[in-house]
Amino acid sequence: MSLSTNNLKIYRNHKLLCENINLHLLPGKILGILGPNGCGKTTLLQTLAGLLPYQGEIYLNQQLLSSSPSKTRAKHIGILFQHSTSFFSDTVFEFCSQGRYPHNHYFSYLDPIDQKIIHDILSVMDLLEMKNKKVDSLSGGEKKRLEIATLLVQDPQIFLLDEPTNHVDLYYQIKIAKYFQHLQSHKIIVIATHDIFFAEQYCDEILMLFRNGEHLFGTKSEVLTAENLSLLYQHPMIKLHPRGFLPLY
Amino acid sequence: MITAKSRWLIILILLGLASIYLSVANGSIIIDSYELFRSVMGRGTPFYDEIIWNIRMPRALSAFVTGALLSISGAITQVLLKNPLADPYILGISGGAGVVSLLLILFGFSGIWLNIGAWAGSLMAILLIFSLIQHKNAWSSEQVLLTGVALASGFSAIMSFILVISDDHATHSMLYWLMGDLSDTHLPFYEGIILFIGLMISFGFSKELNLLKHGTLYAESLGVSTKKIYRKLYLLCALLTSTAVGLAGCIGFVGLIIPHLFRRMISANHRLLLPGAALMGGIFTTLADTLSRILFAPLELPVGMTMAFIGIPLFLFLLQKNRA
Repeated sequence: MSLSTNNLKIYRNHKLLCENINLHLLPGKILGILGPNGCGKTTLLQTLAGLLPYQGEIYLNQQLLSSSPSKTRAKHIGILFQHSTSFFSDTVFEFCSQGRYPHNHYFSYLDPIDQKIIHDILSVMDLLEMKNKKVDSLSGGEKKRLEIATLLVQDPQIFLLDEPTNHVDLYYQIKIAKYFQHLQSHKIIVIATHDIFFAEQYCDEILMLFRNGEHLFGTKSEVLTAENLSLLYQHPMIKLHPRGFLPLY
Repeated sequence: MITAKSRWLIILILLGLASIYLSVANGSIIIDSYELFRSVMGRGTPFYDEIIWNIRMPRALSAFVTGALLSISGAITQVLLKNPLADPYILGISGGAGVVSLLLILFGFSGIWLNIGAWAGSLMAILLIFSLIQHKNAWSSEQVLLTGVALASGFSAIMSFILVISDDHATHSMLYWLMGDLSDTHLPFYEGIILFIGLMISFGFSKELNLLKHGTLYAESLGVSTKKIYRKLYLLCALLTSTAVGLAGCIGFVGLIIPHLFRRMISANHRLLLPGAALMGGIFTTLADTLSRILFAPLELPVGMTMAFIGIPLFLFLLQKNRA
């Protein structure tokens, strides 16, 4: 299993954000994407998920991503969106069960195996008691956990997570991070985040997207330095030993 | 999850039969259940047979089918446009039908010609929207919605123009047509078939609709090919709506409110919502039409008006109750 890009150029509203992105992602390493607002983190994730137009090539398991049908793609790649919009409310269980969509045939609905998967994941995210509640009655953090649960129910090979710990309290931030860390041996995981502590703690490789359209890719120890972070956020940083960074005020 | 709530569908089917029974039994002559039963079994007296099969039954079934068609179309339109205020008419589908029908009335046509004209007019309207959207290759809901609303205003201006230049007699039939008129109907055989097929097709898309209501990109990320599906669903809505408009003119309100009622009372899952809203819309329209006929007999009220008088307080009550 692999996801790789060759001279990828990403666009937002026809404006070039970043070019020459060459990634080769394999299971076993978590990739963190860091960068200031508007630099293209979300665009890159959505492009990798096959949802936006791009130039260059994206290969999913050595095959062109654009040539695979939507449902096949959704079996392999799952994305957690930063924002969610919903116009008509489902119950928690109904919402979560929609993650099984790419695995179901045209007329089939949830079989006992699907039911069990949904049940188990909801209990991992501590949402089982709320399964009959309406989604719009949940708090921001609970809703985020539900979206993560839905993504886990989708069970893709590649997880693209856009700020997965937004709105989530510290207990669940750690729980979610640990859960993905435990998945990383057999799944490809990409996380876009503003949390440099989170990146330092859980990521193995880092892609930095700079405001001027340049980028930097490498292992955590190569890329995640005080110097690069100061450049990235245009604010002086120092490294705290043994680990972690502190912005200077 | 499904089974507990799907009991509602059985209840609604029974209520649907009851509403048709009420509609057929009531009117200037009240038909008791024994006579009705005999007539359904093919052993009725010619007098009752005439009333039941040539007057009451066509009307009751037309009302039911119209309500069902509009409710399905409304439920889908609200998801496609991501707008709870959307109704089947918002894209100018009824406007197109209106223009053609009014023109036909103006030139003295009536009966089946109006059905065909309404049908052709709605299809013309949706094709016009398609060509305008297709050009920009943008299926964003705002784009479609604004294009539709603009076209609808254009059609409505043309209709006003036709009303202004018509003589009094034609204006009267036109106004009744515009308010929704079930007084001149036939047994809705083809319309029933279209309803059945439309329900089956939309039901086949219920999983996709469940995802689409959370946004296009979200649905796409879970493997829905949204572009293809949007086009099919818009065409389906146009077919359902134009069939309803051809049958009964512009009956407002039902396509907007019934899907919301069902979502609030029972479920937003389209596997239940589509058949459920169809039944609910059918029941509601049939009952409203029955009341329109008997409340101020021999004067008949336009069915859309009766529906609004009953439905709006009910809907407002439910809105309040759900908030509490």
